[in-house]
Amino acid sequence: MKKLLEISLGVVTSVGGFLEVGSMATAAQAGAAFGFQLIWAIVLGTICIIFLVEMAGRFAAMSHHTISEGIRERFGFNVFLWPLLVVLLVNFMVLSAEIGGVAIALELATGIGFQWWALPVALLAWLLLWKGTFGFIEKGVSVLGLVTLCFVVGSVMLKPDWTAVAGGAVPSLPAHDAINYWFMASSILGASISPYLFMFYSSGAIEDKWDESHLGANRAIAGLGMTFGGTISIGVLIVAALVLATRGIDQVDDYHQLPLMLIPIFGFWGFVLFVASLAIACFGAALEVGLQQAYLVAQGFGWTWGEDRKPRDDPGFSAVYTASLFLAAIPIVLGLDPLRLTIFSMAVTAASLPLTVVPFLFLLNDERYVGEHRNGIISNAAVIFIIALAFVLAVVTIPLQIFGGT
Amino acid sequence: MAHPTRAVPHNDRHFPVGCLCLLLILAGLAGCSSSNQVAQQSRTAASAAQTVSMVLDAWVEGAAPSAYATAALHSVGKTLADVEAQIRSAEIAEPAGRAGLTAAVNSLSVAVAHAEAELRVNNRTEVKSAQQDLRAAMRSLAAAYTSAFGPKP
Repeated sequence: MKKLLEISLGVVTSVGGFLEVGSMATAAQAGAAFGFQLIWAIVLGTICIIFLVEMAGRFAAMSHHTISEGIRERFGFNVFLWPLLVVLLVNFMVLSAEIGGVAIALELATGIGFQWWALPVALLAWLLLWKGTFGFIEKGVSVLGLVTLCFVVGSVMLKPDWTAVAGGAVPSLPAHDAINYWFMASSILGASISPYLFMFYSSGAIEDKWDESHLGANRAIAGLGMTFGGTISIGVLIVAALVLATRGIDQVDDYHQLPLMLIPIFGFWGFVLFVASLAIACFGAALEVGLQQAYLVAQGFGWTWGEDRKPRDDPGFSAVYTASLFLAAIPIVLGLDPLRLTIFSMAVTAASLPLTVVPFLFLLNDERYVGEHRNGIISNAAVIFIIALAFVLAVVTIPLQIFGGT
Repeated sequence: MAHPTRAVPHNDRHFPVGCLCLLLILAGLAGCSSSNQVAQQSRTAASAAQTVSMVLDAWVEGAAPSAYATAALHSVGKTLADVEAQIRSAEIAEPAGRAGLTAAVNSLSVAVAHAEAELRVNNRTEVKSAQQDLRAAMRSLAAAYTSAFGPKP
C-alpha cells in the first residue's frame, strides 16, 4: 500500500514536472501551424525521456550517485566540466523562460507588465527553496500542476477525429513551411528531452533515499508519469489545432494568443484555467530548474548538498540556487520576450543533448555502479538511438532557426 | 491567404530521411526571395487579424477580461505595424500587388487601433463597429493576397 502511494505520488510529480512553458509553447505553435502533424515529435520525445528517466532513477537507486556525480567520478572533472558548463547555460535560459512564463501568467491576470513580475517571482521561488523541503517542492507544487489536465479535458470536449490524431503519431512530410516544421519538431524534442528533467530525477531519488527496492517503482513512475506528461502536451497540441488553426491563427508568436486556446471551450473559465496552468506549471519548473542548478554545481565540486538540509549546512548549494534564480530573472526584467526566449532555449536544449546523453551509455553499463542491473539490449539500443537523435538535433536545430524557424 | 481559415492539416505521406537535407536547402533558398518574404508577412498579418477577431469575440461575450484584451490588441497592433513596414520595404516584381497588400494591412492596423481605443473606454457598441471594420479589412487582405500571389490567367 505504501509502495502504491509512493508510485502514485511519483506519477503525479512527473506529470506536474513534465509540462512547462517550453512544452506548452512548442505544442501550441506546432498545433496551430501544422495541425496534428507533429504529434509524432511529442510521442518520440516522450519515449526517449521515459528511457532516460528510468535509467537516471535506476542509476541513483543502485549506485547512490546522481548522474552528475557519476559523470564526474567516472570520467574525471576535466571531462565533466563541459557538460557542466553547457547544462548550466542551457538551464539558465530555461529558468529564465520559466520565470518569464509565470510573469506572463501574472500579466494576463492583472494587466501589469510581465517585466514587473520577474523579480517577485524569483523572490517567491527563492523563499520556497530556502524554507521548504524537497518533499514540499516535489509533491506540493506538482500536485497543483494537475490543473494542466484541463488541456486533455478540453481536447476530448472538442471531439477531434481520433483517426487523424493517431495518424499524427506517424512522421510525415509537411505540406508547407518545411523549415518551420523541422524547427518545431526539434524544439518539441528539446522541450521533451530536457536534461534538467532526468538530472533532477536522479537527484530526487538520492534525496528520497532510493535503493534497490525502488527499481519497480522507478520503472512505473518513469513509464506512467512521462506518458501522462506527454499526453498533456498532446492535449495542448490538439486544442491548438482545433481552436487556433481552424480559425486561421496558424502563427503563435505572441503570448497573448495562448489563452485563446481554452476560451472557446470553457468560456471565461478557460482564461482562468490557462493562466493557472501557465503560472503553476512554470513556477514548478522554475523551482526544479533552480534546484537543479544547485545540484549540478554542488555535485560537480563535491560540496555538501540537499534541499532538506538547512541553508547554513550547505551554503554553497543554497548560494547557487539563490544566484541562479535572481540572475535568470534579469533578462525578463529587461523586457526580453519570454515566448521567444522559450523557443530559443528549447532549440539550444536540443542542440546540447549529446553532452548529457552520451554518458548514459557508459554509466548504465558499468557494473561498479549498477551491479547486475546494467542496461539490457533494449535500453542500450534506446540510448544509442537517443544519442544519434541528439547529434542530428545538435547539427540541424540552430541552422533551422537561422533559416526561418519561428 | 485565399484560404485564411486553414483546415487542420493532416498528411500521411511518410518521409524518407534522405530527403531532409535536400528539402532544407530548397526551402532555405525559397525563403530568401523577397516575394516569399512578402507572402510570409501577409500570412502573419492574416493570423494576427484572426487573433484580434477571436479576442474581440471573447471580450464581447464576457469571456476575456478588458486588461487582457487591450494588451493583446496593443501587441498585435505592433506586429501589424512591423508587417506593414516590411512589406513596404520589400522589393517585389509587382509594385501594384505590394501597394494592395500595404493598404490592406494598414486598414487592419486602423481597425485594431480603433478597437483598442474603444476597449479602453469599455464602449461595446464601438467595439462591435471596429469588429466589422476588421472583417472588411481581412477580406481586403485576402483579395490583395490572391491578386499578388494567386494563379495568373
